[in-house]
Amino acid sequence: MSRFSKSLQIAAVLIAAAAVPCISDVSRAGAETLYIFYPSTIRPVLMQQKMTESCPGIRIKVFGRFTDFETEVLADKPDAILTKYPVIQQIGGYSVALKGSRKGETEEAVILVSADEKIDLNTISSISIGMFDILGRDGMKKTAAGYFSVEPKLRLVSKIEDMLQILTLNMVKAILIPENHFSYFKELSDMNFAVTPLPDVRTGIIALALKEGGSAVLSVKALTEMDSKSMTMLEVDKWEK
Amino acid sequence: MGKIKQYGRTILVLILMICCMADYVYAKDSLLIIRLEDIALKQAVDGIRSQIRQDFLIVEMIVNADTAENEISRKMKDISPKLVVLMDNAAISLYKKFRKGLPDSSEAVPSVSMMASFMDIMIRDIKNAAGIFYEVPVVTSIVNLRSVMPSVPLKKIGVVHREFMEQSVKTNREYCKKENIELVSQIIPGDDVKSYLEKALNRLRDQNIDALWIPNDNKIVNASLLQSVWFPFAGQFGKPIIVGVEVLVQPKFKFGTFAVIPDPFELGVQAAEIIFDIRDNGWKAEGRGIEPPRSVFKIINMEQAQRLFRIDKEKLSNIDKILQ
Repeated sequence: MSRFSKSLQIAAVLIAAAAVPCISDVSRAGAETLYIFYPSTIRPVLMQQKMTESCPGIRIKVFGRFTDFETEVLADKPDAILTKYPVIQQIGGYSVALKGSRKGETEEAVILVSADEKIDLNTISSISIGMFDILGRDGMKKTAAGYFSVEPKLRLVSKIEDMLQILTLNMVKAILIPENHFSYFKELSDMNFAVTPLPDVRTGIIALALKEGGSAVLSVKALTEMDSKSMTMLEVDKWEK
Repeated sequence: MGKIKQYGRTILVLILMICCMADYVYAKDSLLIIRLEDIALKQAVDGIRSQIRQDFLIVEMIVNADTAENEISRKMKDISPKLVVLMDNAAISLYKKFRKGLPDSSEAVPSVSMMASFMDIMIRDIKNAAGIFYEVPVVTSIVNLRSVMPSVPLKKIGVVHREFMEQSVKTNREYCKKENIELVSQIIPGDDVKSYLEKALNRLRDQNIDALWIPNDNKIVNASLLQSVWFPFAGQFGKPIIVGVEVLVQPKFKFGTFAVIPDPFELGVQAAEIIFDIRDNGWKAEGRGIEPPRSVFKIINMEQAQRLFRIDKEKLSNIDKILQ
């Protein structure tokens, strides 16, 4: 064996050895990762199933609770996250790439829903309000304080249907929901709802954010080419840059 | 000399760091959870931890039938908890025994009790106590059942109960009113349950109820009464039966239609909220009352529901467990 072929053999072994971790890294990491946390009327298990079907090649994980989402995003650092704007801001390290829009709007109105009587916004500091927990206790307190001139007493839930529960069981005076969710509660309940609009409050519907310094080409492509059924599930009709 | 100064500075920084860490550890209020070994109770603890682990130092004490009250006393001395969480009737009873042995003047550490039956009765003689009922209000069950069986009228619901549950039924009646549901009841007087139960059920049927709600009371629902009264009644009733335990909706029994039980993890999250409220209220739990559970698991006996009632299959995605 010539010196050349010997050195080639050594080089081949070295290249192979160096390639092993790369190959195994790729196979371990698998596809691009997209973590989703979006409070909707659809169960996380069902959303995971439907999103996996409509986004081939992407490893998707859907979360029902903010604490689980935050913990796993910080630990796994997925390539992209699909969630509410304030969640993206609180978690950090991700930049918005696509904004979900509905009827041309990327933001939506929120309303206070109560039983029988509207809420006098001047009494907000003395009543309890139910909200879906998207930021944890401290984050939600700050959010609520931003919505109202004073800080109301909050009751946080992590299932949309529990919002109705806390209202029916007199645990809160009102629930704060996106206006878009009101029809869900109307369909579920025979309660005599009273709606108090909050004209000065609008929140971002949903956004896709990419890990800073990374790229999530498949996630961006999957969302922009998403079928209307999946879009409806995410409560949007278009993705905007 | 320079080196000595440098070492001195490093040691000073280390001491400061240790002090800061110690401060951080000791700044956390301690919380003692007294419970039995059980999967659902463990899930409830996980729910509590998910919310309060950054604010409290959590210590768990697993008890069983052999645990004596002096062991609770020892643990309370060791931990000096700011608050105690009691899970299950057995843990609450044990804690009550421990409290009984204390002088009247002793400080009442606030407590939050959960995962126990008839909570109002269980904790009424504990000072500075709050709690969460384990029994799910019937309005929750009906609203959820209505969503999967939109064609079945669910306006008038019947319940059979013993006298001590009168207040609970009254509260449930108020909740039901909000949803335009009427709750009619038949009381079983005294302890002679069997002779009254059959009559009470027939009276409810004569009142044209749309569904029957069966609260978790083992004096009214037990193996003997299930065989002799409940199963034969269910065979003829032909309307939805709502229960509070999964076993009673097993299709093989041809009995319960829909079971609604508390979600243990979310019960823990709810307890955590109460814990924060009590802390913010200067460690005072009085006046809070006992809350109903706000988050549930829904289980349907699909075999019966399909046979007897029309089901909206699209709505089944909101049901946690479907038994065929």
